[in-house]
Amino acid sequence: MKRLISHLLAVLFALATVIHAQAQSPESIWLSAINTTYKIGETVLVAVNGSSVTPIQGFTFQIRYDPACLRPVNASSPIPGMNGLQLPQLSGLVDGSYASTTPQTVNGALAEVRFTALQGCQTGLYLESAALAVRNAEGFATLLASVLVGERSISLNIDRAVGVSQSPAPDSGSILSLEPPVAAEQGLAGWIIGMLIVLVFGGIGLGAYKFFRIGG
Amino acid sequence: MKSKRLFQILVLITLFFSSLGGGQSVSASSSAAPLQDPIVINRNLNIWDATFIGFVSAGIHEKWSLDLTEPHNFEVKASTVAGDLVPLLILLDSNNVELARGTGSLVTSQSAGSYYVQVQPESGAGFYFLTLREVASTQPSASTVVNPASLNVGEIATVTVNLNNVPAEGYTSAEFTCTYDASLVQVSNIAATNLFGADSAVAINGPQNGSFIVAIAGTNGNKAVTSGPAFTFNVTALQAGQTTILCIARVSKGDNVLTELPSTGSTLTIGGTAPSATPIESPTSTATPGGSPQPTATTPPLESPTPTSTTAPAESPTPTLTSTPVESPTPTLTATPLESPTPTFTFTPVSSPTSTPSPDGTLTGQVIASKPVIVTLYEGNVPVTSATANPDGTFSLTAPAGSYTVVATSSGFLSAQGSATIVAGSTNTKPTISLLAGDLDGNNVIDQFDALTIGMSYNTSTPSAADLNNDGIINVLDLELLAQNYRQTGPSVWE
Repeated sequence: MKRLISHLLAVLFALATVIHAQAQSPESIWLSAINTTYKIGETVLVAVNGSSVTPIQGFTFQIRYDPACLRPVNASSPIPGMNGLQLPQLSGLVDGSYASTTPQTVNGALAEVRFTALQGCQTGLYLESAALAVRNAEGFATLLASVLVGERSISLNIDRAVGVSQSPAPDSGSILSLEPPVAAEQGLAGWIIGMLIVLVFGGIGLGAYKFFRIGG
Repeated sequence: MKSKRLFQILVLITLFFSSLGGGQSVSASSSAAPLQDPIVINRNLNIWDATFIGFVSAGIHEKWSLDLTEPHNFEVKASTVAGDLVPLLILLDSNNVELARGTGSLVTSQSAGSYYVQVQPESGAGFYFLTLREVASTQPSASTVVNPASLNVGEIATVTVNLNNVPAEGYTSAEFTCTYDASLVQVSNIAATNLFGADSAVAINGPQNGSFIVAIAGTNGNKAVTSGPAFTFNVTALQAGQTTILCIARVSKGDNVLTELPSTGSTLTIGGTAPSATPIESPTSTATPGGSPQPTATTPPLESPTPTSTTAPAESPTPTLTSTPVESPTPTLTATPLESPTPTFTFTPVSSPTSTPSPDGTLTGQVIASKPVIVTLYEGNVPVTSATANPDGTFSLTAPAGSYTVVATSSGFLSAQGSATIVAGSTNTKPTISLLAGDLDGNNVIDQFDALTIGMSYNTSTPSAADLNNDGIINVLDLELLAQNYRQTGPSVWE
């Protein structure tokens, strides 16, 4: 019985290896996470993985997230020489780009992306777009054609319990800050001004109504 | 015999007066120098704002040791008390290498470390008062601080690179060239702070062969207006030795000029003892896709940056993810896929072309860009005439009377497009327009691939389209210009 289970496991592992190899062949990008269950305050860690036999000089990824549940913190690339290009971020969309002055072959994690769990919710991350980039003959960054995008979505379950806050700083790699833009205070101010305008005009209207009614 | 006695008296006098200054103990010792060489008396200068008394002559020099635990901008001043002494001060590092010198006083900025101030007569001989005081520097500078300053093999120190005395007008960008001994330390975790704003654009070149470059540019009008750390990085000690870690800063005030700041480094001393296992690997989150990942998409996620591509921006600026309370077991991720690229760069003539030749008229205007601009008149999609604008952007085009589409282009910039009417015998002037920098590949959107081109081409001069400010090198100034217009699409409307 024990031997049978061992054989079954061996077959399963062999199949899993084949499936895994197919998923990455020949050039692919996919999203992965070790854990999908977190508590409030914990650091959610996902990896943008890539595989390419063609040496690349950069990659880019855009991950859609729910800003009510998650706050992006940073990304880091373990690939030596691959440096983060920090560009303005949008709320709800992590926008990461890395470039290297020398071509590199990649197989594994391109970047690790960290979020902070904000509140209890069931949410997800969606790899909206991703690309591997090479430098063409004219010197421009251009995407590597025929890159397959594998797993795009990761469902996350954030428990309402408050977890232990971990340091979101990666141990190594080129760090890319992904702090979203500061929530527009202007929006709140505009809302308040709008309310005041409504109240003022409402008051004037009410006064005029009473005045003319009394006069009439 | 007589001179020996005189010397003894002098030493005694020196010892006596020194005891008055800050209660410093004096370790007077003559160096084992040849007779012709002056005797060097070792003394201690580790109390700030105290006054010490010393004596120097052609045969007696004094060497004051000074240990700085952090970077200081300080002045050492020697005032003659008696005699015809004109004191000369020489600042030496721990290896007796001269760093600076001054007559009467010496003002300098130094990082943490051990130093000596040697006092000797430039002329004459006599007693002097010596003071060490901090000088509040008002000059902008950069400093590199290593913490801790000494460690063992395998241990990690944090290096902080600061911009000091940042002027009120601020810096729009900065470029730091850092050097270190790559055989002694390994650099990792280079991370910019928020000194240039939360959305600053950062490019890192290296580390390679003991150096790397960090370029930081504020975006959306953000600048560094206060002093403080600009970025940090870690150094892991590889083998015993001593290395200086120095980051030289060049800053820009938005005027396309990089100005080098006085920059001080720090010395890191590495002991030979390796600590117990110190893993420095990154978290092992490089898992393969969960389940059975089925590659589903073969379409490029972003537009192809071919120079003639005419696609719309990739990203949707409005987040569309929604989440449900935790009680709901069903994930409700509802992401909106990217819009399919749609051509946007289409020339639309205002009216049908004129059928008969008309007398000529002139169209003038000004197009601002830091690179050569070409202005072209189109009739439908057919170019009628074009001209290269003058260096100041002014142009003049002559064409038969009629209605046209006028397009201004410049390498690396979003084009601008508008309508133009030419009236026979008269001059029509278009409003001045500034082209937006950053569309390096000419696909009418300033996107990640444009930024990647700068990252891949850092410190080179090709492709020339990436040299947005036309200064001959692709660097932080070009990234700064691109970041200001990131996600902008073209062509810009030329009213």
